[in-house]
Amino acid sequence: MAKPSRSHDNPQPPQWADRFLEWYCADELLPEIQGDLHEAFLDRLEDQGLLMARLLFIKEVLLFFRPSSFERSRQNKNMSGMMGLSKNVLKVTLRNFTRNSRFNLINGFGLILGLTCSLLILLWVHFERSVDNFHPESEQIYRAYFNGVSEAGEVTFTQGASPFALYTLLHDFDGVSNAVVYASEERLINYGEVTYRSEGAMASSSLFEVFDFPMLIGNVDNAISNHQTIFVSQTLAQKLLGDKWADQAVGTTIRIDDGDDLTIAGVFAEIPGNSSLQFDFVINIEMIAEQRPEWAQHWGYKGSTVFAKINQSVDPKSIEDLINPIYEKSAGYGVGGDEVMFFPFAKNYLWTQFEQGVASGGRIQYVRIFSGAALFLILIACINFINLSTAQSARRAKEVAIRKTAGADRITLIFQFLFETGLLVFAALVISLLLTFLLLPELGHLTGAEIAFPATDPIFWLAILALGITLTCVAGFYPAFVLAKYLPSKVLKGTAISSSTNPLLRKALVVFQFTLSAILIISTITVQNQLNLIQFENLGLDRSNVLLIDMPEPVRQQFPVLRDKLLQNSGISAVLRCSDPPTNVDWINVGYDWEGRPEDQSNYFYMLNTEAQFKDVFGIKMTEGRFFDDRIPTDTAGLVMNETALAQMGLENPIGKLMTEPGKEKRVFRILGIMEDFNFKSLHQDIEPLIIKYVPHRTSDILIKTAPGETLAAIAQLTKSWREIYPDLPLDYEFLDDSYKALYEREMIVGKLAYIFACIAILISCLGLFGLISFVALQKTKEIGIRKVLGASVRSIIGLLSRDFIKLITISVLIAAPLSYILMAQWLRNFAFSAGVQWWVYVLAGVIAICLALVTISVESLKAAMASPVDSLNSD
Amino acid sequence: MVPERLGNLEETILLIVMIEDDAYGVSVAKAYDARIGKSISIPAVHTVLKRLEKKGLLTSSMGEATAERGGRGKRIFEATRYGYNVISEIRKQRIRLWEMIPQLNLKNG
Repeated sequence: MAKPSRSHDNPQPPQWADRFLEWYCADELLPEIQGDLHEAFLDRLEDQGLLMARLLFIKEVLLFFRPSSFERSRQNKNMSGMMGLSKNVLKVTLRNFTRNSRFNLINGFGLILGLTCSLLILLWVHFERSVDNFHPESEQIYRAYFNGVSEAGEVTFTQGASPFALYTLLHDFDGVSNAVVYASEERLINYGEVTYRSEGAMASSSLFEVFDFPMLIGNVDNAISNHQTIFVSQTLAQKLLGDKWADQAVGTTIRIDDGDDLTIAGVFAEIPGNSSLQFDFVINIEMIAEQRPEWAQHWGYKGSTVFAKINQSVDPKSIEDLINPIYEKSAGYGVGGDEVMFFPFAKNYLWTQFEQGVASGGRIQYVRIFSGAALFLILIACINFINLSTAQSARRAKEVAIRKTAGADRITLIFQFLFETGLLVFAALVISLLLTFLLLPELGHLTGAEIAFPATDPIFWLAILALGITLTCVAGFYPAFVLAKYLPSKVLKGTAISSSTNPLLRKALVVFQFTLSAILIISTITVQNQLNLIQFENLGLDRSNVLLIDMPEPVRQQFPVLRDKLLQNSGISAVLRCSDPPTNVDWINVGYDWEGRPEDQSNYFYMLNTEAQFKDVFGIKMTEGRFFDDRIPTDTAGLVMNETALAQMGLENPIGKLMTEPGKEKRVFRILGIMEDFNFKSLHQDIEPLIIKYVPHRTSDILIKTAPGETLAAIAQLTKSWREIYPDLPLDYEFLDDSYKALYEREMIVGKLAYIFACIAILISCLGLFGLISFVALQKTKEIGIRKVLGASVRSIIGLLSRDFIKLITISVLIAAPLSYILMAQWLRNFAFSAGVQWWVYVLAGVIAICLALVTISVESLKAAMASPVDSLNSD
Repeated sequence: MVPERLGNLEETILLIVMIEDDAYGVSVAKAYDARIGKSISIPAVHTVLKRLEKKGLLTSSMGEATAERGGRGKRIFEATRYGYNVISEIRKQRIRLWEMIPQLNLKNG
């Protein structure tokens, strides 16, 4: 840029700014802009000096950096350069979307469905896995279990109930930094006018030290010395004391079960939804220990849960080994067989089933099943996406060839395809996220978990981004690279492209996709079968028309008053007490002795206390002997057992034989009768040995049998009578049937969800099939036209189009059958009573898959077959 | 006639173009500086000139190059007939408004 009139010592504007201007500024705008800036620079040089002039020059160059300076006049626009390219990419993308809007809609819709479902499932899975993991050093917290060990050294059962004595022992144990004893309680809490039935706990105050349940007001340490204290949750404090709870709570005395008066020592924050321990109040359990020292020291009274925080450097096994001899010595009854086992607390929520002392299952199975389902759904949706994208891209071979001829390089073309795919993927992701957000409360409702949308979690967004990019690459990669490779000369001559880009790959993907769908269908039918079995299985126990009431303390003391009052009502036919609902007996006792018991034999029994009417109310059948009779007072020293118990004891001629209860008192019971087996646990388990005793005063539930067809009247009468006797006590009843179903809540939810997911999976697969067949039909338009001209029938053309697909789907079903059999057999192992996997399920699933595919295919193929050959052959 | 909506700066620059001979970016900026007493950046002037041209109030043509500009041409702006119409319409409107201010009329008339 030599300027003759200016010598080199004349000041110049900064060169880089000038160059920058020349770079961005459109050629035809450059003279006026650059000229003006240079002229202004010289003017300012005189007025304001070199520095200001330069600074202003730079400032104005930067101010000119805006789209209006980049503009070219129309005739000068060309395809080269960055701006031209990306504009073109965008334009081609939009044109392609509008031209193939149907393909893209199907594609996007399938992807949105799959993504939304998977996101929902994964959020739930994440929630389940997060339960109990929020406590500090949660990996050091263990829960004590007791393994029942047979003489042969085999673990026969594992139970989570521990005695208070274990807590006392652990508290000062070497290697154990802290211990907690915990027992769930339901109590009536009364303050002034208000009474609430609350779910709470009896626990040692170390509960607040080991676990992260922050105290809002009050101090745990102060409360330890005084045992007559209670901690309440914020919600309960608000309910009892109103808005001023924060000022009033500490020091206020509240009444429990119309008995003890306890002083509030602290208010703790709401227990988070992802804690397996849920309670609204905590009563200091040391109070009970002081009042009943015999209970607190006895190793046989297992009614609480014990947690231990074990130092990181210490192996919990070594503590087990130290405790077991102490336990055996202290237990008091000669039969050993129980061994302590520490299980990590953080895993306890997901692992609740034990086989031979090793965690074998629990919620983890559902977490796994659903993680699998989420994976399936995302795979199916992705395969759809890949299939449709590749199928469709073959149609664009000509476009690619022409662009190549015009000078586009491979990178440009690859970018074009990736961009298109990415746009679709991310649009689908955004919509899915929105749907997930909207549907999350619904999922929470269904599963009973409060799952929050992790909007603030950076890892969540990173994962979403990674998913989007992966999907874009996987789905866009194939068309991008394959198409960009074509030789334009061949394509334009029409020789290079066969009817599809890679039929083998696409066929394999279709098979894979339908295999997954078929597995889901088979699994769903099997799960439904099993659920039906559970719901309608005859347990050997007539559980219809029975109401269940948890017995509060005031009622326990004067039960006959309530019973007599209730029995005056026509709708109520029987009232009796039980220690557990007979659909879920939970109390195990070990160490019974009897005449002729082999020295090395130790048995465990489930125990139930009840009254004489039990047999009639539940329709229990006796195989030998008799049930209790309320007219024979000595029957309280008798017992009745089921056939399983008798078989396990190996006793002959049992009636009249004597059994000695474990414990210091060595009470003796006479065997009165043997019952037919009935199921008193969930169907997950085999029928267990059961002993029923006639001990009406040691019970906690009231069962009310209503007259057939008068259930509603009976409930009204029950409510009325209850109000008359206990105007202040809330009445909570449920149907025994419902409480039974609650045992299978998880399975019911799984059943429902499995059903939904299977439907969605098959829907997505069919969408994909629909897209593929319409693509094939389109490609074969000319072939079909020529065939029709030569006299082919509509039927033969439909056959031509669908034959391949039907073959593929049949193959899929054949592959899916054994796979789903393995999966389902494993799931069914959780049930002692299983419906099994029936052969007709496979046939049904196959028929469903093929029928749905046929319907999907026939719509498109019929259209293609019916089209007039004149139109199809006329097209060019 | 509904006058074209003009901003204050647009109006001022339009007037300056009408006053100056062979108005172009730098000359307009200088005139603005001299007559209004405030400085204005070259990009701002360009923007306004372009906008006025788009509205049809100005036309432009490439003028000759000068030495100060390193031999680069300048874009010369000229008001159109429509531009003159608009500016006189604005003037009339303003005068009508001024006449309605009692204090001003008392003092001056």
